[in-house]
Amino acid sequence: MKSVFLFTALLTACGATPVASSGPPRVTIPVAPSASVADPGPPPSLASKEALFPKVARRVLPNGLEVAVVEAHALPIVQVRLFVRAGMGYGGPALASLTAQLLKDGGTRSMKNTELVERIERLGATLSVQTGLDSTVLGLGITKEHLSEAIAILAEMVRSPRFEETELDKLKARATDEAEDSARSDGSWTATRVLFHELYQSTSPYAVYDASPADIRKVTGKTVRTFHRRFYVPKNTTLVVAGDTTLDLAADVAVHSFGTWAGGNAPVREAVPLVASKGRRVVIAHRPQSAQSDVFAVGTVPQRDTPDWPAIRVATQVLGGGPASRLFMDVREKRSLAYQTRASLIELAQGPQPVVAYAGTRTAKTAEALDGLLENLERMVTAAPSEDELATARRYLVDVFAIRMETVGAIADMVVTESTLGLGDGYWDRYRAKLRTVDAKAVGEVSRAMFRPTLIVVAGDADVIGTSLTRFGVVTVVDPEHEFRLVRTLPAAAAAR
Amino acid sequence: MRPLVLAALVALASAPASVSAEPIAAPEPEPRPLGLDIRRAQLPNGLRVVLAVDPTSPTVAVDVVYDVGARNEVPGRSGFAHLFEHMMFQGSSRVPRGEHFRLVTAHGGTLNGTTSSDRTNYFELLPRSELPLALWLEADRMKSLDISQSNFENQRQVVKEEYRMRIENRPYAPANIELQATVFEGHFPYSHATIGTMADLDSASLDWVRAFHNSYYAPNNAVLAIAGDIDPDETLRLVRQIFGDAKPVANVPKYPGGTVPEQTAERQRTVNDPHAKLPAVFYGWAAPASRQREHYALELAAMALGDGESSRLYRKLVREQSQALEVDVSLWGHRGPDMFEIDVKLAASGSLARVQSVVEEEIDSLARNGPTPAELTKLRQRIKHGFLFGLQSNYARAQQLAEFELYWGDATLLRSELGHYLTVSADDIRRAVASTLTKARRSRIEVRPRTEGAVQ
Repeated sequence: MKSVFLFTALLTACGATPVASSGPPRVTIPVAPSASVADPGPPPSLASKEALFPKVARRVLPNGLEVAVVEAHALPIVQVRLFVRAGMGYGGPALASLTAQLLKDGGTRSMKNTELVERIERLGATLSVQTGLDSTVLGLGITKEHLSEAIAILAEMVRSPRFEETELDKLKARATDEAEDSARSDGSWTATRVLFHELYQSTSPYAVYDASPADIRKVTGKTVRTFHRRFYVPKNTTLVVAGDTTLDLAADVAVHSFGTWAGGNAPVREAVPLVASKGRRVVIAHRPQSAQSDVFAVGTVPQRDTPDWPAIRVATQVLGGGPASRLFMDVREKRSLAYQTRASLIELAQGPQPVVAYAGTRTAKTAEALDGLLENLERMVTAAPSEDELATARRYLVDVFAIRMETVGAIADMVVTESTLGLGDGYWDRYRAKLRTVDAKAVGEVSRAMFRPTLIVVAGDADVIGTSLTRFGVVTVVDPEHEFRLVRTLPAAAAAR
Repeated sequence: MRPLVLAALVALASAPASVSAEPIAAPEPEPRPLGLDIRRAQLPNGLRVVLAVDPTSPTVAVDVVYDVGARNEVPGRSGFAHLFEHMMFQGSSRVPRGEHFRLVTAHGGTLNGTTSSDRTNYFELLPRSELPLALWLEADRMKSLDISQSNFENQRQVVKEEYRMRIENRPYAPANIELQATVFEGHFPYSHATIGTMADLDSASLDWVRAFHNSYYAPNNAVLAIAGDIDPDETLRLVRQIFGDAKPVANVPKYPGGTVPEQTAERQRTVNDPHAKLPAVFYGWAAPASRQREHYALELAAMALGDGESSRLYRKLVREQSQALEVDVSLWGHRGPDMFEIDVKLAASGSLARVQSVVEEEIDSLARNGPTPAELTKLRQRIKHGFLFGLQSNYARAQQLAEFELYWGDATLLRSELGHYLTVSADDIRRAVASTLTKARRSRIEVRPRTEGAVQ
């Protein structure tokens, strides 16, 4: 329904895991002074139930294709995710996403382009094709009687694509329109693209977020076919099936459709070096007549498998994870500078990971909002979270997973995340156990390293906000509508902080 | 492309809600395959309660839906229902400002509130053990708000930031507001945007907040829906204990109703949009309220035209002819008069005339012939699919059941809702398209993007 206005953005959680209501101690519920002694507050909590992440059963076919199954029999439905470890910067810009889209749009040896989609939609399903930073996922939800047919269609898509040049040309034209559209209309998109470009060296697969028109122009039928041969191989692919099925059933179906699929070894992942930091940089992605600025203050945290991850996650939650966080209560509820403000981690399969403090603020208040973000980041470094803040963040992070696991699709996506990031089966329950032990000392230590942003990115009207941001450092202005070319550089103000 | 929003599920509620008295009515036979275990009750103070028991996940959704939305606003006060929704998070008699957020988060849950033309809702999603906390928080702010001028000013600014984010800074959003105003011209309740205007937000006053709460926020003007891993008897005991002393309001202002003046000639408008890169065209037609037979037929027509990549308009305009980047066909799902909408964002090389020609051809084809048998089979399969997948989460069930109870007087009608779609015939679709999607009844908004370097 389109005319519904969300009051607060639904809270975001990194990953997800089951609930453990028996975990951290209860938080004290304050009672306003006016409340009577006879009315002490809400009735006591009810009995809790432990909710572990459902078991993931895996089987590897002789050709190397992995099948991962989660059984959930409440409804006669199944969610399928075929994911390939091929992110948006892998093998070169725009290749992963255009190859994946062409699998859907370009048809197969036995099906013309529109027939494939027609067959899937006749089952009631919708095929989604999504390329993220580390993987490409072909996903669909179906009723269980159609599992075999759906997987057969997916298999034909990835094994026998036509890759017709005419369809590739259409797709490239559409992708170019989308990229030009985003460059003007979507401040968050432009800021994110700048973030990755500025943070990672150009040789890194993470140096490119999504694609620009120039990236798209370079893609040819030959580069698509080469990419497909290299990345779309059984040893680089996992089939996730969650819902009303069993491992034996899903594996049988997989053998039938994928058993004779052959291919080489999984490609070796490329290194992801960061750009060396030379002090704080400010980059404005110019957006003429912007009513608001999207303000990003960016730092980094260690690789995803660091033992400090639970503490990093709790620190991020305290800073900006929802309406009980410092950013929400200060930048929004006290200073009225934003409707949306938050802190979040962008999770990657390897290398350092970005941590972003964000506010969307009216143009005239851009510098003031950035002050608000930086002051709260600094306070995370200088003032340890209170016990109440820690308890709130821990309990939320531990328990919210059960809410996120209410749908079979969400469970399937969590298995994809677990595999893409190389976390291993049972990760979500281990992670939840570790979250419960995070203390103020651990949060303080990670905060000192992660909340010192070296990069500020603002998508907004540079003509209005440029000068005001020079007090934060040297300001570089780029033009998203012309391949992010350099427009001008403004020197840092004498009193740059 | 906008996915099917679980059937529009709404229509004009002229009759008062009729709900069962305590105790909880016996559960009806379990339907297949949805398996909705629905219980209904009403407290003496008028609060209607709907429970949906599902132990699949050890969680619970608590959702209070008030029978007030943007349609209850009057000229000069647009956006106030939504601004008021923000004030409901600013403290109540026993919950200091900020504590509602903290308490729910600190007990492992999330929360939110939303406002539409038809209603306002507030919800908490929590581990099952924290059901009492959610009920206590909702009851406290139903009974009394603790507001101040400074809190009000703060939230006015926050909502204005929301307005900038959703409208002023977002391409095509102003055109969508223009379409709504054009289609429902002469019928204020549905012709204005839920978020209102900046001028009306600026003129709102603290006194309105108190009066609004006193008028609409009462147990006899609300439905409480609870879905998830609950014991129904224990839950109703808690509801009685916590909400039982909420005082009803004797004279809740009645929604004035009214009809949309019949349109006899096409209306055309142009919106210059500085944030749009590509041209777009939006078409709108006034449509019957939800849950009327013609509305079900129009929903299927919308699916035939724009649901999925094999739909008529998507296939022709995007896949085959490369005239468009996006096609979106939908009904808004109002309980009152509704809108049938077609949005097309053109490709850079697309032609507005060609797009219009294809849109008209496909509407004419449906109006003459209806969908093909294969097409109708596909639509029915996708509707079934939508119901099965769309009601998985506790919140989805709670919200749908609450709206059915509030709008149509009986939450259990949701069980038979799928059947209404499956009995729509090709001829029903043909007739609904022929009578509703005519050129004379059409409103058309053309979006002109900023040209390079132009300042508007």
